[in-house]
Amino acid sequence: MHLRAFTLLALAASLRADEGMWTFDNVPKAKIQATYGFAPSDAFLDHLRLSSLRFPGATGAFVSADGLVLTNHHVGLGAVQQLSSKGRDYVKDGFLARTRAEELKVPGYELLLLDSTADVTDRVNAAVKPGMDDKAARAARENALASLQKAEAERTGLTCNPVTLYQGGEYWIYRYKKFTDVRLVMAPEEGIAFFGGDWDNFTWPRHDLDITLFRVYENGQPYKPAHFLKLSAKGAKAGDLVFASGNPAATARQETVAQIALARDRVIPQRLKSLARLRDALAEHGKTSEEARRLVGDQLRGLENGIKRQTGWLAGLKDAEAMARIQADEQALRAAVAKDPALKARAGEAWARIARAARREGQLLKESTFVAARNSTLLVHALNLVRLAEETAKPDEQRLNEFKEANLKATKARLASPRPLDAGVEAAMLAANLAEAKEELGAAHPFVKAMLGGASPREAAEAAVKGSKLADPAERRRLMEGGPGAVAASTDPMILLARKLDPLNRRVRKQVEDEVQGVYTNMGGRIAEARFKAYGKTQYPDATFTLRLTYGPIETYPANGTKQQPFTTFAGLYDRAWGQGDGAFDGAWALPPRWKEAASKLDLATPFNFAYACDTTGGNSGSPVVNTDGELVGLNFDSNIEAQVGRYFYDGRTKRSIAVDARAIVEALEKVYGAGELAMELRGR
Amino acid sequence: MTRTPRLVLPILSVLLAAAGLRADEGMWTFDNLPVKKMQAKYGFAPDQAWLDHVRLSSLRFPGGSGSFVSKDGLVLTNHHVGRSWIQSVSGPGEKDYIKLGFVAKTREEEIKVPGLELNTLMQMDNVTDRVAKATASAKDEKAKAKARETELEAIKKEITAKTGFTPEVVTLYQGGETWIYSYKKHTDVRLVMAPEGQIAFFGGDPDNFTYPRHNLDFSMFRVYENGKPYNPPHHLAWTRTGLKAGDMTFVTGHPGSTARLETTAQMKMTRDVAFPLRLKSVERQIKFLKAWGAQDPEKARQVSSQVFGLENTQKAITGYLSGLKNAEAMARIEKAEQELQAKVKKDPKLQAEAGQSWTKIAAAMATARGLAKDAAYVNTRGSQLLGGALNLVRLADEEPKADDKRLAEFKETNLKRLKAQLGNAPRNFNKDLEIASFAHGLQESLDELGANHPFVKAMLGGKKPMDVAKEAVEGSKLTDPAVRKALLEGGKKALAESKDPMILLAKKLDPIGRELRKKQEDVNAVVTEHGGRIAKARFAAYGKETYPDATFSLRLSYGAVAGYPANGTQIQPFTTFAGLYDRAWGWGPAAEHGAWALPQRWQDRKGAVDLATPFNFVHTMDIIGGNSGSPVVDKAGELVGLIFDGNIESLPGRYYYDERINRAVSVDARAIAEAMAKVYDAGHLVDEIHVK
Repeated sequence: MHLRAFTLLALAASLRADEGMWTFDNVPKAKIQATYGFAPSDAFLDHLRLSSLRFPGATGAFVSADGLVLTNHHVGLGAVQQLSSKGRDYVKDGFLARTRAEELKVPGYELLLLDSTADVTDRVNAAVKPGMDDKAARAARENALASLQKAEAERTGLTCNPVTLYQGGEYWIYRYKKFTDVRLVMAPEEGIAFFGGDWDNFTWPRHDLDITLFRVYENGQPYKPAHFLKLSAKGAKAGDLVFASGNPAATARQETVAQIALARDRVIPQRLKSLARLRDALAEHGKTSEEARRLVGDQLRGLENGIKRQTGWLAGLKDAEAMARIQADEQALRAAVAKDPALKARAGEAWARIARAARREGQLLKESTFVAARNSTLLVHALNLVRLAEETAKPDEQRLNEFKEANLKATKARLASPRPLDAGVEAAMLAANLAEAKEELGAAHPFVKAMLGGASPREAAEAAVKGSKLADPAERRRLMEGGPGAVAASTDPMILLARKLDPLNRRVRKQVEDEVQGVYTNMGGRIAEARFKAYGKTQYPDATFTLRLTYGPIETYPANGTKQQPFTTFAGLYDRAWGQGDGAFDGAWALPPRWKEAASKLDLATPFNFAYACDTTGGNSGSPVVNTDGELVGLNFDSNIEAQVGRYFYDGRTKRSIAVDARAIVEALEKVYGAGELAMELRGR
Repeated sequence: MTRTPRLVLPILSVLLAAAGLRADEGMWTFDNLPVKKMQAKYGFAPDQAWLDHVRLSSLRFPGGSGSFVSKDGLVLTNHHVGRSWIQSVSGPGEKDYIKLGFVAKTREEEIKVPGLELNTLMQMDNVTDRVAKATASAKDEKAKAKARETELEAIKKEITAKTGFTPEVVTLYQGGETWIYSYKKHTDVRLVMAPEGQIAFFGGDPDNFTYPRHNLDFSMFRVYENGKPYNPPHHLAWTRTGLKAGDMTFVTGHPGSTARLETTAQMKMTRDVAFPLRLKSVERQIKFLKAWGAQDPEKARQVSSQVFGLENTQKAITGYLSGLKNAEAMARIEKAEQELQAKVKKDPKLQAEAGQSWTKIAAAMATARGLAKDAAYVNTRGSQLLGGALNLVRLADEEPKADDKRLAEFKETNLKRLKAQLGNAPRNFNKDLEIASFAHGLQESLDELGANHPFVKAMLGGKKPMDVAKEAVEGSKLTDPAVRKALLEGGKKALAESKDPMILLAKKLDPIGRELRKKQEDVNAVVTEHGGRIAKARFAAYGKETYPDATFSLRLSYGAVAGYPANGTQIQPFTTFAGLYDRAWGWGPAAEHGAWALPQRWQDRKGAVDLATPFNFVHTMDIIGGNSGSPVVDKAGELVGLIFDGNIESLPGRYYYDERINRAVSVDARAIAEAMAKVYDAGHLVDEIHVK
């Protein structure tokens, strides 16, 4: 592997101030020092890392000597919901353990602490022998990584995960300490944790007490973590440099301009159209009865969120100035590649190949979107049942992805899931999908003809849902375990539909995999490789749901015709509640009773939320935000609407993360919840 | 000094009227309200007594609006409408009422504001038919105009003789209707109270034209007659119940002017040439004034009003421009234009009258594009003295001419005022600023037009802008009223003999300026003539179903209190005092040059005010610049708020209206009463307004 040092000029054009989700082994200390006159020491970084926790899909942190853990309410929501029951709605009413004995164990809940990491790049690459083609080389690396993972786990007794960084530029083993006794300590009412509801989601200014407190136990005793974050006594102010550590899940910042342009011009608009259509269909169904309204509530919220986030992407991608910068970055890398014969031979054609594949993706977009079991849970189940026997009979590498050994268990678990299904919602969604497919593909398209068989989308959907027994988990299990014969004998209308869908879907899926995804992966890998060779570790790797550090100041940004305040206060919470009124928008800004009563008790000047220029994304929820002393000043919980395009690129002018101010947490615990002891514990007294 | 009203607000393009008027749109004349539409949407339409009451309670301010709010002649308007008048009675130190605010504890303490004149609209007479009759026998356009003028003068004289009111001609629907609006004039106006500029304009320029907002943008004056508080026959009762979201509101005020009747050719010229040039120049001037003000606090104070106005202009133009750049909206406007063109084409009479008008205007705009740079940079370049000198030089040439041959400002109707102005020392003259401004203006012309441009050559004569400015300002005696008077009265001879450097510069500027002006007037003549023809065609096609262009005469708008979607969420319809403190604390006192710093009094009285008091609110009103200070009344005709701004989404409304997001921003009447009582210890005024 011949690394080549290129001029840093290209890099200067490529990285913006405060951009980056940095691995802890490669924090750009010199750059931070140059900008802020402060660079985190190794001790600072170790302390922050060893205080940070990975939650399922998110992040949290130890915040007391007795294993108290702070994360977001929307991170802990599943656990809070799980512990609730009829008559004890901790989501709506909140929860507070007055004593340790009252803390509620969350069955199945696991937290991970990143104990240590090992760079195994050389060992993985050593597995590749001269003469191996790409495919063989990939398999050799995968095997080497898997055996290293196993050996490390056995050697250390820790939970070891393989991590691929820089699209294969580096291979690591991350070793985690796992905690399995996690208990709920405190959760506020959802009405204050998610104040402003879906409307305010992804926006700023904000007024959310989006927190949950858990406690980690070991051997029945509160766990004493070696590291935990102390609450800052003085708090943060505008302009202060802060750091957030967390587990950003995924970014697409390595995509080429051709891919991004396709996303902007075709993929996202198409998806938005579909989402809006599905939302309207569900909302319509919700009008049929109070129960239907309740049933579609969660899905509607998810859809609204998706629409808002992708609308944010689109707005960002339409920013000509930002796109010009991305273009310039790509040109700089291409120029660097063109100058180096070895890189040129390997990646010189990659951009053109990806551009062609993107055109192909555009051509296939309608079929790949609509010739599928979209959004209908029953049809997805049926399709998986139809395919299960056939696929599992094949050798592993020839199977569809979801039936490969690595994924088979999860696929079967989904098939057997006891989650109840509502026939009305199912029919409404399937009908919406079929109607859209008919409109987009035309009535003469083989898929449309096969699915509808001359009936209207509504009739076809209702007939299939009403006639199907697949809503019953036992029936699905019977077909799953009955082998090929059981499914073949089935005359369940969903199974019949799935059988017709199967070959049509396979065809388009294969086209997309071979002609689009295959090229993206292969050529994208080569570009990533070239980027890593050109710029090396002066850049950060794409997000991989592993621990990263981001930094930046608490800072305003321009929006809505003015500049946005860096902090909100409790006064702003009441202003918003009073200014909207309880009845507006289904009570999105209605305060929980406890908060109405607390108006006169609270110090209204207490900072509540703040906006800061750290580069976070999904998975960073619950990330601790610390000052230069490594003390906790806030808890990350969201980012503004302008930040959503951060999936594709970072725009420091307007991208802001949003955190709950630590001072608001203790003020609320003391004055609103009467949880003075918890506040004391947080304060370390 | 005349102020540009801050409030330049949403207007409906009548071009869109073809597709039917949208809900809540319109600046309606009091004789022609869309009663059925109001009734259908809100279940309420005002009756004649209601209309008379709010009209007779309303006032016209210079450049803005106001209203009587007590039986003793107390008048409510915006702080930014009153601002230049407050400044004119202010001084340094504790008399800096802009900075410190002002409350007259007794009537004796109320400060007379020289020159401030308020008007009440007492009667409106439709004289369209009478003028038509008087001009029927005229044989050509010229004779017609003459006959029209003679008849209007006669009517005005009749009215004055009968009522003592001051009549003004109001031309509606671009000549479709002619009215005489007669005003009662109030000339003894005294300052009663003003909050600190900082709370009136909380959030400064960043928050201007935006919402959510937290501005106590009001000031109070009192009208006197014969040395006693005036007792108006009508005043608005101050609400004791207050508003809530969804409530119907009305606004009476004086929308200034609209650009809705422009053709797309005009809009495109504005979009591509005029606004970009203007913005560039405004940005440069702001930079210059701020640098000048940065020298010391007194200098900063001296230019603060000017900077305020310019930043306001900058943001407004940026907003208008965003409207003109909205492709979807422009396509709608183009479609509406084509629809009207089609209607014109179908009607032979309309076709003969206006069929060619769009093409003619488009050709004129092509010429205007070529003139735009000279139009921006060939003038008196920010020098008050050169402005005076040019008028003196031209007066001698113009006065001997027949009235209709003169430049507009020298026609008989304007001459008396102009002469009075020319004979006086320049208002608020500041020598250092004059030199710096003039030098800045000359430098800008040099940069933009190049050293070889005839104007630049004439002004600079090869010297540096600063040297020219310094020499001319320091050498000029035109600050001396006696010198001005001598030149004014000495005519051509005195001017020919004058060696005053400003007069010499003015003589060089005069022919260049005249030549440019002639070309511009040719363009304007086409626009006026054919714009009028198009407007008449529109009136013929759509009639009084729609409302006329804004004419700075009294209008009524209506709409509901309502939030709107923006910034990714739903914006709250009301803000509260809690929001004020949130904004102040969230920023801190030093951020953005203290834009969100609270005046000391507001920090001290935090515990005294009820934080839940509604502060500002947004409603779906169709208003525009000139509506500043307009009273907001409810169905009962009681005062519930005070218009002071529009949201950022309202700015493109200069060209088209988007009812989903276009909002007017008002101060809630409850906030004014609460602040007067709890922050300003002005309980005596609260008692006065709360008397039924």
